[in-house]
Amino acid sequence: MKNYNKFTSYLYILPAFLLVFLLLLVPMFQNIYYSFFKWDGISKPIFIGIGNYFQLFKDLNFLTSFLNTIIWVVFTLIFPVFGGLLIAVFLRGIKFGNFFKSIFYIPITISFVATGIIWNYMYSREIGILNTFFSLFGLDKISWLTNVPLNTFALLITWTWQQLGVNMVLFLMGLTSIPVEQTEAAMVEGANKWQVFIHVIFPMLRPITTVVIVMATANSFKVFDLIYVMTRGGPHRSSETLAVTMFRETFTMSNMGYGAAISVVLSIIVVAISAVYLKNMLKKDLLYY
Amino acid sequence: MKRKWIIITTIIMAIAILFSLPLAGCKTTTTTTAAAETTAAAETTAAPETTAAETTAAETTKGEVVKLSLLHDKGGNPNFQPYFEEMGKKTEELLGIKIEPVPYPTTDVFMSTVKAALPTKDAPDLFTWWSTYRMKELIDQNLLAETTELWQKHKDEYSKGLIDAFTFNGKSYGFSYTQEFWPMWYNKDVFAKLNLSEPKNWDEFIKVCETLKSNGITPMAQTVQARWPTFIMFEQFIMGEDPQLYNDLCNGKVKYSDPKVKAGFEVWKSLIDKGYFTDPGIDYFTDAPNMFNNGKVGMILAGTWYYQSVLVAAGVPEDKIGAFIMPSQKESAGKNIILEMSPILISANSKNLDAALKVTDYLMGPEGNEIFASLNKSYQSNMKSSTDFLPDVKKKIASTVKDENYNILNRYWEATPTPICEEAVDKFAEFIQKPNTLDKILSDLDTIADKYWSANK
Repeated sequence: MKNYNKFTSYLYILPAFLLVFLLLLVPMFQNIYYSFFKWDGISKPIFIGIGNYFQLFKDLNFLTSFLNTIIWVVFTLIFPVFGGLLIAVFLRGIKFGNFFKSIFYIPITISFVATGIIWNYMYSREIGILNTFFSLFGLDKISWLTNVPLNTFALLITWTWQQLGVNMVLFLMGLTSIPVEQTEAAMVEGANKWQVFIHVIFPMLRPITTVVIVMATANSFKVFDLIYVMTRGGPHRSSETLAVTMFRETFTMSNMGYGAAISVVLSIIVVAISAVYLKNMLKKDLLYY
Repeated sequence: MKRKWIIITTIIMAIAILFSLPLAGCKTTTTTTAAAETTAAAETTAAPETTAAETTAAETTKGEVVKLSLLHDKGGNPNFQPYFEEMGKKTEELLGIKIEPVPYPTTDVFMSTVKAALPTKDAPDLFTWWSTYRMKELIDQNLLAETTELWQKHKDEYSKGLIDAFTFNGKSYGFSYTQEFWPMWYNKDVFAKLNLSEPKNWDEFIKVCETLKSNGITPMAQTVQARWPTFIMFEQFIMGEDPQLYNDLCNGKVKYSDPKVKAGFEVWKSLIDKGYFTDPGIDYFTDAPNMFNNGKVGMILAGTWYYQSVLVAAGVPEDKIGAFIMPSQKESAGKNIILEMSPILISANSKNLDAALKVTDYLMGPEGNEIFASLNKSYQSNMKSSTDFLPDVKKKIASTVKDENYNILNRYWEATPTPICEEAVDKFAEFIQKPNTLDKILSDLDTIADKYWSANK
């Protein structure tokens, strides 16, 4: 009976396992395999060992792309994550809170492609609402998406607009789970609101903060659609991130092997950062509790 | 008992894995075969022919319509989808073969999808593509069905130049559903208001620019958005220096740092410095027609497809649109114009090859070749097709090209190998934004071109 139950459990996970195996693991290993080849996607692949990986370090565009990715990660941690936390804290218990929550959450329900198109129009030099608004004050028109490095920050503003909502919801969940007694006790002891937040609420939010940071970091590393729709990584490759460079090398330039190598490096960075962060945070959580 | 279940589970997993591997690897297997063995590719081509013939015959017997997929990248702006749909309706009505267009909004996604599908049994029946180097890379991999016999059949209906453009090593592929010249579109109202006429030479052209600029109108549109439009002015100024120089540059016979090439760039730079171009942050397909219509920009250099599917589609009244051919900056360069050919190609692995060739035969003929051209008000490729549908402005361009014996040059996008073009357009963008870094940009362009030509000479 015990064995039968075990077998049933395996059967239940089999469909999910097969999906992951076929659609994630097999392509993943295939991708690693192709990263050792020079291949245009049509002709016969030529084995070049770690040649593609060496090429990465000589490629200035890869370095620009890497730096842009770091900017994306840092900006994401400051604005969408910290902003989400602030909004969650200030929205707790205010009048019309649900209304504001909905307002902040709506952007995440829109696809990245649609978001990109909408913001493209908003950033349009000639017909965009932003330049129209600024022109009311006699300001010059700005080329938001083609001035370097302004274009990267214009993309990050769009990204923040969309990502704030999801982080806000996650932090709200965390805030709801904090027992009221603890904050009340701190206030009875004479702590002001700021002290309560720093010494009681924020430490108790650590598990959810860990989740938000890991998710936000991983998402910012792999951001592609928004950049592709809005600037295609341009002008002159100035707003490319690693995911966009990977796409460009693979599908525009038909350098399948080189594109695969970029994606392997990207995956290693994301997994390594997430693993180190999670390990440290879990250790702290164990100490804390 | 436990061991038994472990064995059963292992067997199930092994079967699942065995099924998964060919699925994941099927594309590679087909690719390798196609690339490595020409004979094998010929056999592959022959096999679907038989199948397609049988399928078509069987379906015709039943009176059912054969459906052909047509993948294209003109699903955004410009949008050719309605025109292709109309073409499909017509072929269904006349031949019982329906063309079902599948639009892709961006060129990169379209190219990668087509390239990935071509070696497989899921290859599209028909797909739009680009001529010369972009077509050659597919021919070299035996991914295209031949149309030599059809070109022979229709040879009296096409110019020799066009036939040659679709012929590689004595074999022809695909067909041209339309062709486009690249003139300068101008706002007739603005020109009339400022008492300007179409310039006949470089000095007159500069005079037009000066007048527009001094009246607060930006003479020309220019952009770095969407990457590819950056080559528009590049090809114009190199061709305007010397058409042979342009061809040699595209074919790797001349370096980008050649003094004559640099001279072309310097003319371009001088116009940027004088403020004759819009800020490159504008979009060529949304901002530019809007500025053109509002009289904020006087002229836009673009393909003849721009007339109907961008300017008119954006609400610019047809009587406001004029066109002339931009003069060369050097008189010795003569009269030149860029031509963009628009091929539809047939996959060697098409499941309906027989039907695809039948439809191609019709679309190459005078009647069929007129369908798309008349809808998009563009130039038909077949010389015997009617031109009655062309707006006067386009008739005038065509007659000028013919009567004044213009040199017709292939567009840069097709005229130079794809790996060079794809990187060069980003360098042109850099030049447009930082014209003072010309020497560095030319050196970078040399590096890009040398890398390709050293491996592909």
